[in-house]
Amino acid sequence: MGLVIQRDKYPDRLFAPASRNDLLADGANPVFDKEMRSEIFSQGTLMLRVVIQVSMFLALPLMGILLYPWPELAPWYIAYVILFNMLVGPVFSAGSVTSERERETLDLLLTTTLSPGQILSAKLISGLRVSSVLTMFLLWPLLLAVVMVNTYWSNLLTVLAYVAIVGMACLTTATVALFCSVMFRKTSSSLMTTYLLIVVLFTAPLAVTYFAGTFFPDTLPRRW
Amino acid sequence: MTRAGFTSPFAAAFNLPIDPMMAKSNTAPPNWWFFGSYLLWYTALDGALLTTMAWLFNVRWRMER
Repeated sequence: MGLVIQRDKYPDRLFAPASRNDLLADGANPVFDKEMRSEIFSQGTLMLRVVIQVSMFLALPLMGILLYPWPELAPWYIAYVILFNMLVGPVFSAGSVTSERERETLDLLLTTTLSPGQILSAKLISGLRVSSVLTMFLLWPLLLAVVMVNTYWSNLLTVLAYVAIVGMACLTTATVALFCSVMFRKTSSSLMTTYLLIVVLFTAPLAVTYFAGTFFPDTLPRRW
Repeated sequence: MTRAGFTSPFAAAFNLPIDPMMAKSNTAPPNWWFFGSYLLWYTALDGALLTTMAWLFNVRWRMER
Protein backbone atom coordinates (compact mmCIF):
# COMPACT_ATOMS: atom_id res chain seq x y z
CA MET A 1 0.00 0.00 0.00
CA GLY A 2 1.39 3.41 -0.82
CA LEU A 3 0.76 6.83 -2.27
CA VAL A 4 0.64 7.02 -6.08
CA ILE A 5 1.47 10.39 -7.58
CA GLN A 6 0.77 11.14 -11.23
CA ARG A 7 3.02 14.11 -11.82
CA ASP A 8 1.33 15.21 -15.04
CA LYS A 9 -2.24 15.17 -13.63
CA TYR A 10 -4.14 17.76 -11.57
CA PRO A 11 -3.84 18.26 -8.56
CA ASP A 12 -0.66 16.17 -8.26
CA ARG A 13 1.23 18.46 -10.65
CA LEU A 14 0.74 21.37 -8.22
CA PHE A 15 2.48 19.39 -5.50
CA ALA A 16 5.06 17.40 -7.45
CA PRO A 17 5.38 18.61 -11.06
CA ALA A 18 7.08 16.36 -13.62
CA SER A 19 10.67 16.88 -14.72
CA ARG A 20 11.03 19.68 -17.23
CA ASN A 21 11.83 18.73 -20.82
CA ASP A 22 11.42 22.20 -22.29
CA LEU A 23 13.07 25.58 -21.71
CA LEU A 24 12.39 27.71 -18.63
CA ALA A 25 10.21 30.76 -19.33
CA ASP A 26 11.85 34.19 -19.27
CA GLY A 27 11.79 35.79 -15.83
CA ALA A 28 11.02 32.53 -14.03
CA ASN A 29 12.86 31.73 -10.81
CA PRO A 30 15.23 28.87 -11.74
CA VAL A 31 15.88 27.88 -8.12
CA PHE A 32 12.15 27.57 -7.46
CA ASP A 33 11.67 25.53 -10.63
CA LYS A 34 14.56 23.23 -9.79
CA GLU A 35 13.47 22.72 -6.18
CA MET A 36 9.83 22.06 -7.09
CA ARG A 37 10.77 19.46 -9.68
CA SER A 38 13.40 17.70 -7.62
CA GLU A 39 12.71 14.20 -6.34
CA ILE A 40 10.87 14.75 -3.06
CA PHE A 41 10.43 11.19 -1.89
CA SER A 42 14.11 10.38 -1.89
CA GLN A 43 14.58 12.93 0.89
CA GLY A 44 14.90 11.88 4.52
CA THR A 45 16.03 8.65 6.07
CA LEU A 46 14.31 5.30 6.37
CA MET A 47 13.56 6.32 9.97
CA LEU A 48 11.64 9.35 8.72
CA ARG A 49 9.60 7.20 6.36
CA VAL A 50 8.76 4.84 9.21
CA VAL A 51 7.72 7.83 11.35
CA ILE A 52 5.43 9.05 8.56
CA GLN A 53 3.87 5.60 8.03
CA VAL A 54 3.39 4.91 11.75
CA SER A 55 1.97 8.39 12.36
CA MET A 56 -0.51 8.03 9.52
CA PHE A 57 -1.58 4.62 10.85
CA LEU A 58 -1.88 5.91 14.46
CA ALA A 59 -4.06 8.80 13.27
CA LEU A 60 -6.86 6.33 12.44
CA PRO A 61 -7.65 5.16 16.01
CA LEU A 62 -6.84 8.58 17.46
CA MET A 63 -9.26 10.27 15.09
CA GLY A 64 -11.93 7.67 15.91
CA ILE A 65 -11.58 8.30 19.64
CA LEU A 66 -10.73 11.99 19.90
CA LEU A 67 -12.84 13.55 17.15
CA TYR A 68 -16.10 11.61 16.99
CA PRO A 69 -17.43 10.22 20.34
CA TRP A 70 -15.86 12.95 22.50
CA PRO A 71 -15.47 16.15 20.41
CA GLU A 72 -14.30 18.04 23.52
CA LEU A 73 -11.06 16.02 23.20
CA ALA A 74 -10.35 17.51 19.74
CA PRO A 75 -7.41 19.65 21.06
CA TRP A 76 -5.59 16.38 21.81
CA TYR A 77 -5.89 15.39 18.15
CA ILE A 78 -4.56 18.81 17.11
CA ALA A 79 -1.66 18.26 19.52
CA TYR A 80 -0.96 14.96 17.74
CA VAL A 81 -0.93 16.71 14.35
CA ILE A 82 1.46 19.37 15.68
CA LEU A 83 3.72 16.65 17.13
CA PHE A 84 3.77 14.99 13.69
CA ASN A 85 4.79 18.29 12.09
CA MET A 86 7.49 18.83 14.72
CA LEU A 87 9.05 15.52 13.69
CA VAL A 88 8.59 15.78 9.93
CA GLY A 89 8.67 19.53 9.18
CA PRO A 90 12.35 20.32 9.76
CA VAL A 91 13.62 17.42 7.64
CA PHE A 92 12.63 18.96 4.32
CA SER A 93 14.14 22.40 4.95
CA ALA A 94 17.12 21.85 7.27
CA GLY A 95 19.33 20.73 4.38
CA SER A 96 18.21 23.20 1.73
CA VAL A 97 21.21 25.57 2.01
CA THR A 98 23.68 23.30 3.83
CA SER A 99 23.35 20.77 0.99
CA GLU A 100 24.42 23.55 -1.41
CA ARG A 101 27.46 24.13 0.81
CA GLU A 102 28.23 20.40 1.01
CA ARG A 103 28.01 20.06 -2.77
CA GLU A 104 30.03 23.29 -3.13
CA THR A 105 27.35 24.89 -5.33
CA LEU A 106 26.39 27.75 -2.99
CA ASP A 107 29.19 30.05 -4.17
CA LEU A 108 28.09 29.47 -7.75
CA LEU A 109 24.50 30.30 -6.78
CA LEU A 110 25.64 33.52 -5.12
CA THR A 111 27.37 34.70 -8.30
CA THR A 112 24.05 34.70 -10.20
CA THR A 113 21.77 37.74 -10.47
CA LEU A 114 19.12 36.06 -8.32
CA SER A 115 18.09 38.11 -5.29
CA PRO A 116 18.29 36.59 -1.78
CA GLY A 117 14.50 36.79 -1.66
CA GLN A 118 14.19 34.62 -4.77
CA ILE A 119 16.63 32.03 -3.43
CA LEU A 120 15.11 31.93 0.06
CA SER A 121 11.47 31.89 -1.06
CA ALA A 122 12.22 29.02 -3.46
CA LYS A 123 13.91 27.01 -0.71
CA LEU A 124 11.19 27.80 1.83
CA ILE A 125 8.22 27.01 -0.40
CA SER A 126 9.69 23.76 -1.72
CA GLY A 127 10.35 22.45 1.81
CA LEU A 128 7.10 23.79 3.19
CA ARG A 129 4.92 22.18 0.53
CA VAL A 130 6.07 18.65 1.42
CA SER A 131 5.76 19.05 5.18
CA SER A 132 2.46 20.92 4.99
CA VAL A 133 0.88 18.46 2.56
CA LEU A 134 1.92 15.52 4.78
CA THR A 135 0.59 17.35 7.86
CA MET A 136 -2.65 18.32 6.14
CA PHE A 137 -3.30 14.63 5.40
CA LEU A 138 -3.84 14.33 9.16
CA LEU A 139 -6.20 17.32 9.23
CA TRP A 140 -8.67 15.86 6.73
CA PRO A 141 -10.33 13.77 9.49
CA LEU A 142 -11.07 17.00 11.39
CA LEU A 143 -12.84 18.49 8.38
CA LEU A 144 -14.74 15.21 7.95
CA ALA A 145 -15.72 15.32 11.63
CA VAL A 146 -17.03 18.86 11.18
CA VAL A 147 -19.40 17.55 8.51
CA MET A 148 -20.49 14.47 10.44
CA VAL A 149 -20.64 15.61 14.10
CA ASN A 150 -23.07 18.42 14.85
CA THR A 151 -21.16 19.54 17.97
CA TYR A 152 -18.61 21.17 15.68
CA TRP A 153 -21.25 23.18 13.84
CA SER A 154 -21.52 25.56 16.76
CA ASN A 155 -17.69 25.63 17.14
CA LEU A 156 -16.71 26.40 13.54
CA LEU A 157 -14.56 29.38 14.53
CA THR A 158 -12.60 27.18 16.93
CA VAL A 159 -12.08 24.57 14.21
CA LEU A 160 -10.79 27.26 11.83
CA ALA A 161 -8.46 28.41 14.61
CA TYR A 162 -7.14 24.83 14.91
CA VAL A 163 -6.31 24.84 11.19
CA ALA A 164 -4.56 28.21 11.62
CA ILE A 165 -2.57 26.88 14.59
CA VAL A 166 -1.38 23.87 12.58
CA GLY A 167 -0.64 26.05 9.53
CA MET A 168 1.46 28.43 11.59
CA ALA A 169 3.30 25.49 13.17
CA CYS A 170 4.10 24.18 9.65
CA LEU A 171 5.42 27.59 8.58
CA THR A 172 7.48 27.96 11.74
CA THR A 173 9.14 24.54 11.59
CA ALA A 174 10.09 25.17 7.93
CA THR A 175 11.34 28.72 8.60
CA VAL A 176 13.42 27.75 11.65
CA ALA A 177 14.88 24.83 9.68
CA LEU A 178 15.76 27.11 6.75
CA PHE A 179 17.33 29.60 9.14
CA CYS A 180 19.50 26.90 10.73
CA SER A 181 20.37 25.68 7.24
CA VAL A 182 21.62 29.18 6.39
CA MET A 183 23.61 29.44 9.64
CA PHE A 184 25.32 26.03 9.72
CA ARG A 185 27.77 24.28 7.43
CA LYS A 186 26.58 20.69 7.88
CA THR A 187 23.05 19.35 7.43
CA SER A 188 23.34 17.20 10.57
CA SER A 189 24.17 20.26 12.73
CA SER A 190 21.38 22.24 11.12
CA LEU A 191 18.81 19.48 11.67
CA MET A 192 19.73 18.85 15.31
CA THR A 193 19.70 22.57 16.15
CA THR A 194 16.32 22.95 14.45
CA TYR A 195 14.85 20.12 16.53
CA LEU A 196 16.30 21.66 19.68
CA LEU A 197 14.84 25.11 18.94
CA ILE A 198 11.45 23.72 17.96
CA VAL A 199 11.25 21.54 21.08
CA VAL A 200 12.13 24.50 23.32
CA LEU A 201 9.71 26.87 21.57
CA PHE A 202 6.80 24.46 21.42
CA THR A 203 7.08 22.47 24.65
CA ALA A 204 8.99 24.58 27.22
CA PRO A 205 5.84 26.65 27.95
CA LEU A 206 4.01 23.41 28.73
CA ALA A 207 6.74 22.44 31.21
CA VAL A 208 6.50 25.89 32.82
CA THR A 209 2.71 25.58 33.04
CA TYR A 210 2.98 22.10 34.55
CA PHE A 211 5.54 23.33 37.07
CA ALA A 212 3.39 26.31 38.01
CA GLY A 213 0.27 24.13 38.24
CA THR A 214 2.05 21.62 40.45
CA PHE A 215 3.78 23.97 42.89
CA PHE A 216 1.53 27.06 42.68
CA PRO A 217 -1.90 25.56 41.94
CA ASP A 218 -3.82 28.62 43.17
CA THR A 219 -2.27 30.89 40.58
CA LEU A 220 -3.13 28.84 37.49
CA PRO A 221 -6.55 28.16 35.90
CA ARG A 222 -6.38 24.48 34.94
CA ARG A 223 -7.54 23.81 31.36
CA TRP A 224 -6.32 20.28 30.76
CA MET B 1 4.87 33.36 33.75
CA THR B 2 2.23 30.95 32.44
CA ARG B 3 0.89 33.69 30.15
CA ALA B 4 4.17 33.40 28.24
CA GLY B 5 2.92 29.99 27.07
CA PHE B 6 1.55 31.51 23.86
CA THR B 7 4.74 30.37 22.08
CA SER B 8 3.42 26.81 22.26
CA PRO B 9 0.93 25.67 19.60
CA PHE B 10 -0.13 22.93 22.03
CA ALA B 11 -1.12 25.53 24.61
CA ALA B 12 -2.86 27.57 21.90
CA ALA B 13 -4.96 24.54 20.89
CA PHE B 14 -5.85 23.69 24.50
CA ASN B 15 -6.90 27.27 25.14
CA LEU B 16 -9.57 26.86 22.46
CA PRO B 17 -11.76 24.06 23.84
CA ILE B 18 -14.69 22.63 21.90
CA ASP B 19 -17.92 23.38 23.73
CA PRO B 20 -20.01 20.17 23.66
CA MET B 21 -23.18 22.31 24.16
CA MET B 22 -24.48 20.06 26.92
CA ALA B 23 -26.49 21.33 29.87
CA LYS B 24 -23.98 20.14 32.48
CA SER B 25 -20.94 21.25 30.49
CA ASN B 26 -18.45 23.39 32.40
CA THR B 27 -16.13 24.00 29.46
CA ALA B 28 -14.00 27.14 29.75
CA PRO B 29 -14.67 29.79 27.08
CA PRO B 30 -12.12 30.03 24.22
CA ASN B 31 -9.18 32.27 25.03
CA TRP B 32 -8.93 34.25 21.76
CA TRP B 33 -6.27 36.62 23.15
CA PHE B 34 -3.99 33.64 23.68
CA PHE B 35 -4.65 32.45 20.11
CA GLY B 36 -4.03 35.96 18.73
CA SER B 37 -0.80 36.24 20.72
CA TYR B 38 0.33 32.89 19.30
CA LEU B 39 -0.32 33.98 15.68
CA LEU B 40 1.26 37.38 16.24
CA TRP B 41 4.37 35.97 17.93
CA TYR B 42 5.11 33.45 15.18
CA THR B 43 4.32 35.93 12.39
CA ALA B 44 6.89 38.26 13.96
CA LEU B 45 9.42 35.47 14.59
CA ASP B 46 9.16 34.01 11.08
CA GLY B 47 9.37 37.49 9.58
CA ALA B 48 12.45 38.31 11.67
CA LEU B 49 14.15 35.04 10.68
CA LEU B 50 13.46 35.61 6.97
CA THR B 51 14.68 39.22 7.20
CA THR B 52 17.85 38.09 8.97
CA MET B 53 18.53 35.44 6.32
CA ALA B 54 18.04 37.95 3.48
CA TRP B 55 20.29 40.42 5.30
CA LEU B 56 23.01 37.78 5.73
CA PHE B 57 22.86 36.90 2.06
CA ASN B 58 23.15 40.57 1.10
CA VAL B 59 25.80 41.68 3.56
CA ARG B 60 28.02 38.71 4.27
CA TRP B 61 27.88 36.35 1.34
CA ARG B 62 26.91 38.36 -1.70
CA MET B 63 29.66 38.42 -4.34
CA GLU B 64 28.26 41.13 -6.61
CA ARG B 65 29.21 44.84 -6.28
